[in-house]
Parts: sequence; C-alpha cells; structure tokens
Amino acid sequence: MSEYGALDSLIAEEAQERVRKSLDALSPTQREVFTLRVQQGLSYKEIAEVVGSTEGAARVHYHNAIQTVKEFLRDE
Amino acid sequence: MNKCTDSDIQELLPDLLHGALTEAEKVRVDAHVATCESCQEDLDVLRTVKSAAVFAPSIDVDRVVRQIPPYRAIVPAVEAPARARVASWLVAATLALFVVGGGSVLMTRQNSSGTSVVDGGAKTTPKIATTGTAAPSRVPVATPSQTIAEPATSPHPHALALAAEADGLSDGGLVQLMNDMDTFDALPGSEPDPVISVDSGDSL
Repeated sequence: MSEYGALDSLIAEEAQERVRKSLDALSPTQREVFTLRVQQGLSYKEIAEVVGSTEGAARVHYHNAIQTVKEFLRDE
Repeated sequence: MNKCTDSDIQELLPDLLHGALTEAEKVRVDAHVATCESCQEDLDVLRTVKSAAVFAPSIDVDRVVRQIPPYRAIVPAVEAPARARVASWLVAATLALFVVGGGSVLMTRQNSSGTSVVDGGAKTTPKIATTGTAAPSRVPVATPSQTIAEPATSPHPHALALAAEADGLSDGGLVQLMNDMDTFDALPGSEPDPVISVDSGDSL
C-alpha cells in the first residue's frame, strides 16, 4: 500500500468512526429510518412499511436524525 | 447559517445522492442547494454517512418473527401432498398386487381345469364303450365274440389272426401251420443288413 493509500485508508477509518458515533446518538427508530433513507435510498413509503410505521412518522424521524447527526459532526 | 425552511427540498436530498430524482426535480433541488448553505451542509453530511456505510440497519427480530405465518398454517399445506402421494402409491401397489395375484390364480385354475377335462374324457370313454347303448364305439372291448369276429373281417392276414383261425383247422392243417411257423425268421425280412465299412487304407 502506498503512502497516499495508507493516508486515505486512515481518513476513511476516522470518518467511519465519526459517523458511527453520530449514529449511536440516535434512537433505534431514528437510526433505522436514517440509514434506510441515506444509505439504502428507500423512499419514505418503503421505510414506513419496513419499520411498521406511517410515512409521516418516517419523515419526522428522518428530520430529527439528520439534525442530530449534523450537530454531532459539527461539534467533533 | 440560516436554517432552511423548504422541507420538501430537504427530504429530496437523499434521492439526489442516489440519483432517484426526475429531471425536473433534480433541476429544482440543484438550484436550491446552490443558494442554501444549510442544505449544502446537509448534503455533505449525507455524503459522509453514505460513503461511510458503517451502520447496518438494525433488525427487529421480534417483528420479523411476528410476520412469519403460524407453523400450523404451513404444515398441512406441506404434508397434505405428501400423504396424497403415499396414498396414491399404496393404491397403485394394491392394484398391481391384485392384478398379478388374480392373473396367477386364473392361470392356475385354467391349468387345473384343462387336466380335469382330459382326465374326464379318459374316464368317460370306457363308460361309453361298456354301455354300448349310444353311438357305437371303435374302442376294442375284450369280449370273446368280437375277438373272434374282428380277425375274420380284417383284410390283413396276421399271425394272431392265423392263430385265431387255428381252431377251425384240421389236424393236417395244424401240422402244416406248425411247419410253416418253423420257417419264420426271428427277425423281420425288412430289417436292413448291417453294413460295416472297413477302411483298408489303400485309398491313401
């Protein structure tokens, strides 16, 4: 592995650790909705079916989750 | 940094990352993000979370288990065809057994009835001959009158016929007959003479 490759790997590991900590700050439902929306690209309707909730509740969980994650990463 | 008040655009930001927007929506979101610092920050956070991909969605096992149909509802649907197959195989095996067994029994009965008919015919023939009331039989019956009469009507002269006629011969005829019998050969005249070829070896 080259020097730049090792540096990129280190930065990626640090970013993963930061994101992991920010997601740990979420409630289980917020974390599930947020990851399904951001990482899996599911729609709110699909998320509502997966988590067994309503589409409006999924939107609220997403908004609360992104505000929490953004504040956590800003404070880091 | 002013907080964005366009919640519709904020909700579409993940779709912008995954390329799930229509052309019109993409143009509208891009135009908004270009002028909104809050949405730019949100988009950066979303890119970071998406690229990190460190979190797998938690799986609510209890909820998944509740979605599984009851065990009793599945078992009959699975076992019924198996029982039907077993029953059909049993029926087929029973039918095959009946066919093979019945055929062998019929063949055995036919064989036994055929032998009984032959035996019966053999037994009935003497009855017809002894009664003599129905159609005349050609089976010889050991009665003295017929024994004497048949050689007289026989067109072929035979030694037994000659012996039967001996009762009517005179003394001189009997002597002549005995003399003729002395001249009879022990072997019939039609018996071919044995031919024995002896190879002398001259032909080589």
